[in-house]
Amino acid sequence: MHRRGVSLIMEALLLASIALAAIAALYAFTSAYLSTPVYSASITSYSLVKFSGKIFLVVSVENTGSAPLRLMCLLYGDSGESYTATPSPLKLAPGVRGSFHLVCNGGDFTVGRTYRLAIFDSDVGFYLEVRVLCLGQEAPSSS
Amino acid sequence: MLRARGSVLLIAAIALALIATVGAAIYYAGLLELSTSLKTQPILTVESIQLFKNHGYVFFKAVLRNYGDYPVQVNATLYGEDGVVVCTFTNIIVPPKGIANLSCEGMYGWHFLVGEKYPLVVVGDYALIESIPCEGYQVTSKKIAIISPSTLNFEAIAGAPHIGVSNASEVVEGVLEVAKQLGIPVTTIASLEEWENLLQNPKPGMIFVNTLGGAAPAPSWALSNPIKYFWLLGKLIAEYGWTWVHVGGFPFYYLYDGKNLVQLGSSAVTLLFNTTKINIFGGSLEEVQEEILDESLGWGLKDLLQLAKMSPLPERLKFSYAFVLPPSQPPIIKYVFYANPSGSQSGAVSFSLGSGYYVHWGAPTDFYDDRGNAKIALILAIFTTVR
Repeated sequence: MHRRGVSLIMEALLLASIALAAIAALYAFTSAYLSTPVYSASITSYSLVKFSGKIFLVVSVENTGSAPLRLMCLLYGDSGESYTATPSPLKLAPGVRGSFHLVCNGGDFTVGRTYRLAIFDSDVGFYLEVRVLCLGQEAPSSS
Repeated sequence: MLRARGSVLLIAAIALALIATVGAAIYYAGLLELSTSLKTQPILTVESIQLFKNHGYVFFKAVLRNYGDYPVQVNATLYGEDGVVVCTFTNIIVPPKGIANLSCEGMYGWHFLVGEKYPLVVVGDYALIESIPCEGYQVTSKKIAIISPSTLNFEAIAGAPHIGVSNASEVVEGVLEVAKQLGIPVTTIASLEEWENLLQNPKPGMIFVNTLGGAAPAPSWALSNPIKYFWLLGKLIAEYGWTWVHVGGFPFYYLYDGKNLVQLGSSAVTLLFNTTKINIFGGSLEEVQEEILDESLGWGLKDLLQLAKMSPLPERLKFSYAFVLPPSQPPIIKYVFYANPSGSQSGAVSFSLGSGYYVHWGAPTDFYDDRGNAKIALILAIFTTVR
């Protein structure tokens, strides 16, 4: 009997090689894709409250990207003036959570109005902005 | 031959299965890591909270609950009136699915008012603000305001005649002592700009203790226009329910802007009352008569004095500065605490002016020092406003 083609062993080895090569290629591709730094953060909670003439702000954030971030947090009042929350910057490794807070005089804020809150890392071009509602109670009226 | 072919196929199948399994395992591990990082945030909440005031004393307790699968590390701060930091809690670790207790207590009552809300600010791995209603007991819901004598350079005028206060810092200490014991918030006005701002934008119901005695703090413009200034002060008292507490000396004998002292004289207080039906004298013990404590008021004041950890008022005192009481209204007298036997003069009296009061303490300096005079004057003012 005359045999044609590759032997069965060769056939098996060929199949295995093809499978391995495919896996290696896929792995290389996904690794390259995943290793590209992604700068991303999300605000998981925030609260802006006025008590006794003071403004209290807290913001919880999480680094949802794949690279470390040095985040800043600014709150803009009625006058347009910005107030920097601490810590400044907030250093967050990927997957790590942290928070900002701010206590300042509340003259530039009114209960019931919304205010711009910006979180950013200017070094890497990350910027996130939300509007936050000022809750709480106003000081007794002087009029 | 067939057996050999079958074996090879089997080996190939096993090899392929192994490769597939290893590949799947690697991806499973990667996906697991990814899903872990995308898991829901550990949600931190305040499960229970209590802020209870018993006059000067405050008890605070809170329970933080972590609903997450990871421990949460936070710092927490309890703020009081005017944003004052009252209690801080650092490096609180709330275990996964667990709780952490926060508590503090002490003589913090003067930073809170019953019925008002105060913030507990939690920051760290997670941040939140919890609004806490203050419950409990208090003497008054009013706040005390004092002007800082050091920023007004009281030293420069301390020796002037009829100031009636030799050490204004002692007056401040006396006010703070009573405020802490009774749990009444104190706002310190640190500059004449702040004072002017408060005059223009008054907060209602303040108890203002004039720490300068016979000199009234005044913006510079008031020195050349005292009539307008007295009109403004009268408006504060009558319309905004302020209580002006006088702790010694001739009331409003001077106006002082921190640099210039302008003498208005012993009858200046009539400008505040807008009537000439009152008079005041003093400056030497010969001019005033010994006065007797009103028995019913003395009894009424007992609880307040006890709460402030002070001794009962003496039955008889000889005041340095006494009002000659008007034979007819106005001004309206709220209480005459001490009076001479004929009832014609009083060194300790409170007057109603619209919705507010003027409380006069004629500083019996042979019996009380500056601190003691301030304490009694404030007690009489509180008594006047709450009764």
